[in-house]
Amino acid sequence: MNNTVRKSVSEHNHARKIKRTVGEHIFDKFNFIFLGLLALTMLYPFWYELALSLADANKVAISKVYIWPTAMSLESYKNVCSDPNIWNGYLWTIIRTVVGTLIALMLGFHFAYVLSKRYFPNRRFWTGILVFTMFFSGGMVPEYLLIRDLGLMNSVFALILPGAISAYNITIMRNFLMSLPDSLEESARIDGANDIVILYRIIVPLSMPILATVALWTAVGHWNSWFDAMLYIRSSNKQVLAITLRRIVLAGTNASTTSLSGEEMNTNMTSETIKAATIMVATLPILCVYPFIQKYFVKGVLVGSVKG
Amino acid sequence: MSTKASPPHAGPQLKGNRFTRVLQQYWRCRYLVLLLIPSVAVLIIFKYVPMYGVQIAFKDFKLGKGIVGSAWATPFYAVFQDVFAQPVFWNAFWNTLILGMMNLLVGFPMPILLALLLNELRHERYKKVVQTLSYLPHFISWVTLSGLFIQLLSPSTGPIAAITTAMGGTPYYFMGRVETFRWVLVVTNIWKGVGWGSIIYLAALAGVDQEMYEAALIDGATRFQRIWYITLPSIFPTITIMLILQSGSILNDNFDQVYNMMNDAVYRVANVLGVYTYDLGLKNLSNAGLAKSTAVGLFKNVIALILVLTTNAISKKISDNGIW
Amino acid sequence: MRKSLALVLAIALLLSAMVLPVASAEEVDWSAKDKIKITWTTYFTSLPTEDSHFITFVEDKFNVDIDMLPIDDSNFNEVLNTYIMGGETPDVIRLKDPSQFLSYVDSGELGVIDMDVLRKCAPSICNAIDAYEGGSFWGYGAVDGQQYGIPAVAPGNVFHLPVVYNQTWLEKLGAEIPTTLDEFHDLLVRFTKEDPDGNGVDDTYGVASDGLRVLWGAYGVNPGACDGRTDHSFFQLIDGKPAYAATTEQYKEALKVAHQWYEEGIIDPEFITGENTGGYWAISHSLINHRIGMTVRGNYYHWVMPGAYQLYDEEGNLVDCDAGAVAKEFLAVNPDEKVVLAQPVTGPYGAGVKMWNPLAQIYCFSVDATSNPDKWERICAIMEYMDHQYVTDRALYTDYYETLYGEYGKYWIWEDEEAGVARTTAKFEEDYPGFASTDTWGPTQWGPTLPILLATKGNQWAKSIGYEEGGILNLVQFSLPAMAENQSNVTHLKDTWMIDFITGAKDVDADWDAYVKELNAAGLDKMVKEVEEWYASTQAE
Repeated sequence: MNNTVRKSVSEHNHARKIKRTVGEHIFDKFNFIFLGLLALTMLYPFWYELALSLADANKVAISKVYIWPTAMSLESYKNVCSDPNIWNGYLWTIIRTVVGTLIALMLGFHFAYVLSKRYFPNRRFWTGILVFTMFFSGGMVPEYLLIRDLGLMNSVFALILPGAISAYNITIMRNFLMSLPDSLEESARIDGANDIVILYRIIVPLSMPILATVALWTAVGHWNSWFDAMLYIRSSNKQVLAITLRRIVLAGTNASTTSLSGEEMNTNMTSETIKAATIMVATLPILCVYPFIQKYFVKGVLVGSVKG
Repeated sequence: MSTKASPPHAGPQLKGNRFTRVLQQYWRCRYLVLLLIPSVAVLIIFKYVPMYGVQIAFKDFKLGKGIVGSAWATPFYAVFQDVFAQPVFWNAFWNTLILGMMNLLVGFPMPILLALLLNELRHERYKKVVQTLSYLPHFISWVTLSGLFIQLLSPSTGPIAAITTAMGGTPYYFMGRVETFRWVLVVTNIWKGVGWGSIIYLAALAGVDQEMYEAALIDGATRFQRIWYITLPSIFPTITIMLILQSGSILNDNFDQVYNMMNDAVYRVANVLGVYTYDLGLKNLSNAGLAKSTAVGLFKNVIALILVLTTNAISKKISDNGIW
Repeated sequence: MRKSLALVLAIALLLSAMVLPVASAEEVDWSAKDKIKITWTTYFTSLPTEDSHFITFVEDKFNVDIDMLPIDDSNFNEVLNTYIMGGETPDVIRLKDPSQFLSYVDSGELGVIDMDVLRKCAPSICNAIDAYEGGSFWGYGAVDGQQYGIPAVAPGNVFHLPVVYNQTWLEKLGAEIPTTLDEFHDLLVRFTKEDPDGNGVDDTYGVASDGLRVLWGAYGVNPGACDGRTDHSFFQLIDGKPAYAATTEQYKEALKVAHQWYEEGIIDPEFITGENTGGYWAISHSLINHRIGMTVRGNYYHWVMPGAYQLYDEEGNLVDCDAGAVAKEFLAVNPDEKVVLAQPVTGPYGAGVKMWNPLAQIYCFSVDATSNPDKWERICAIMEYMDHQYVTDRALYTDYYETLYGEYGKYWIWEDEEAGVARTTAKFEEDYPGFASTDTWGPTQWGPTLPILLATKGNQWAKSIGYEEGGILNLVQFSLPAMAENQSNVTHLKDTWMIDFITGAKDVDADWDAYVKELNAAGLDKMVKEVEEWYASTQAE
């Protein structure tokens, strides 16, 4: 199967090489440079945080760090890594991200698959009750009471289950599934395979690009979530990383409350570099997910697998 | 097992009254039902059970009495009346609508454009690098970015001003002027979200049949023609569905962005519903404040629902694509 | 202004009261009693782990099981309401925004405090509040004659905001620190026109948004800096009557001057986007980056120059103090320059700048906490113990600071053991970067009277430069109901107009009525009426 893909892609490129006109040459050059510059601007804020996190706060003016600090220090990283909350946070964040994404993908994809079948009875109704939740929700208080009454307080499932069904993601997956030709299933059905076998043998391999996309969305969402964890997780050794990140990053950023005491806001400037280091430590792992899933976006994957 | 060989929808004629016929239909799709049950169970427990919270918007809400225990407002729409009577609410509503429209009209095509441009890159590794970098800003908070943008757009010390001056123009105070502030929001929003937003289109592009390109090449189609007649139509269903879904979020302003970027010189255009409810509910949450913010949320969602249904209907008519 | 003077006097009284021995609560052996569970709210930015010293110390000593509920600062009210609606009102609630207090009392969520027990178990807390402004702060926690809350006074908030000049610029221009508004204006002109940074480019200004506080103060009012996020509902007594600072005649006159200054070009035209471009809030990037020559931002201790005063090091030797947090950044950018802290200038209506509210929070308690005598005694005792810097027995200080900061020597050292003043070490700041580390509160806020530590060398220095005087204080120390509902919108609009008046987009004389009208429509009239009624009722008592 993979061979088929590569072959077809390379043939395609080969063919294009022959056909390129002067205009296309200019377009390619322009496109190359434009996207490169754009990507550089998008790298910058991240680079800036990196530079800040590596700055030696005792020697460098923090507000003058733009490209690279004149004096470097790993002190901030040492500080961050010695914080037990960070490592505990990693553990629980990874658990919620991995388990949460798997559960959300499974429940969501099943739902989407059923809704994509035009012959499924009352299909409009089932779609309706899903889409309705995209617009209406009970709000924080009833959700909190529900989690408590279900006995899910302090459990990682309190962070996973409430968001496991996302109407938005399911709609997109359903839409993708509906674009697959019905004929794909016919032959399998004739061989006696039931819907579940068809789903996992035929549909899932074909849906890898959309599954990868939704998995990425869900994983990043889980990784960054903090509000639910604050509400539902009471023991600090089960707390997620985003909470620690928020606690450190928000310290001293605003002075907005009416009755704010000035005393309270006196933190040290050193913490700016620690904040940056915390951001780096807390964000890098999830950033690495994207390059990993990019292999599912390679052109021709779908066609290749259909043929294979 | 042999009876299941044929597709469920092509079974023998169904018998009995309407109810039993439906039951038979479900029986034929019993594996699908099996798949559906856990998902619907989670949906009902975690989305529908808490739905009673919506009634706060119609109550004379008292914290001590709780959601169910509080008396109904008289008239039941009294909270809405209160909200609608405030000029600042309508200011926020129109600001949100205008910003939402701008974000949709200008912002929506951008991730598609980026995906198409990425798709045209010939160097695979370069493409992957650009792709990855373009998704970085999604992870940087607006608190950090707003500081950078203030410096970038400063009419005296910012690089944009330097370029303007070098080209003989007069630098403009983009962040401090009502006329331009919305555009600052729209452009920075695009910049931050375009890479993240293009992922879904890149996924869709992975599904485009490569044989069609080869056929087009043989026919002598230009690059632009291939994009226009093959690539775009191939991802059109995805574009439609994203457009429908996004039309529902016209009133969902990006509070984090607006609140961090705004200053009070532009308050009259920056006061969006997110800022309004924040001022109403989070800073000063009195009993009435919670009811009011619930009411604003409900109002927003009803409009979003109407917008989505409308776009969906239009789309169905034109292209047979839709979420319904 | 008179009000603030009275307050300063009261605080001075309080200070002297602190030095005197005060009756201490009797020692009780808590281990003989049942172990009980107490839920305590804390702020997110100071989230301690359950097994941290801060908590286990209290748990062991008082034989309790403390359940800390950490709540994010930005969602504090929302989350607290959720707990309350879930029937889980925390036993001890530290309400940062006292406007919530009335609505909680109203809905019956708070217990009535047994004052006899409080006075018996927490005598020094009561004494401290009694000594503060004649005990009038108790009134903030009382509704209809019943005491529902303990006002948390922050006597550390006695100093007004710092008036900071770039001293090197002053010296370069041969200028003196201005004492009158005219001198101040002349100095700003020189800052703008005479190239004080000597870079040969006309790129300097006098002031930006924060520094204008000096101008407002010279007209006797504090309408706030125009950032929409501070100085909500600032009310002052004008001619014996409560008035919203930003609609007074004094403010109107000051605005005309501000517009004049803007036309002259001595106000940074980019004052709209503020002096801070992100990061630590107290920094004035405009001042640090040589855009402006003066500011009023942060607190005095942010701007202290190294060696301004001396304190004890870890070996007990007197050494020069370090630079304040913002001063450190200033020096990193401009190693050869200095800033100087000065007093506000005198104008037609006096002199002054804003000071923070001494009423920091209200401590209140669940019905369960106050109605269960065992629990209530224990809570009172914990608060008292944690506040016992009022107690004469100095040996107890060690316990106290260990609870606040952790291990002695590692995380804190004595700044002045005799006076009971401690100081956190650099290690503390490293290990608890999110904590408000150099402040006096510690990671948990156990009790309502904040550890004052006015005796710290830094505070003594601030006193010596006269920073206790000239502060403009908000007449209303907490939000009344209509205020809570409307003040955000009113503040935003007030600031929009302030910017427009200064830049001349709106004319002060011609558009003043429209300004007041719009503020009233946004709810200012309700707020003013409410404050007038409230003020009348406090006078009647």
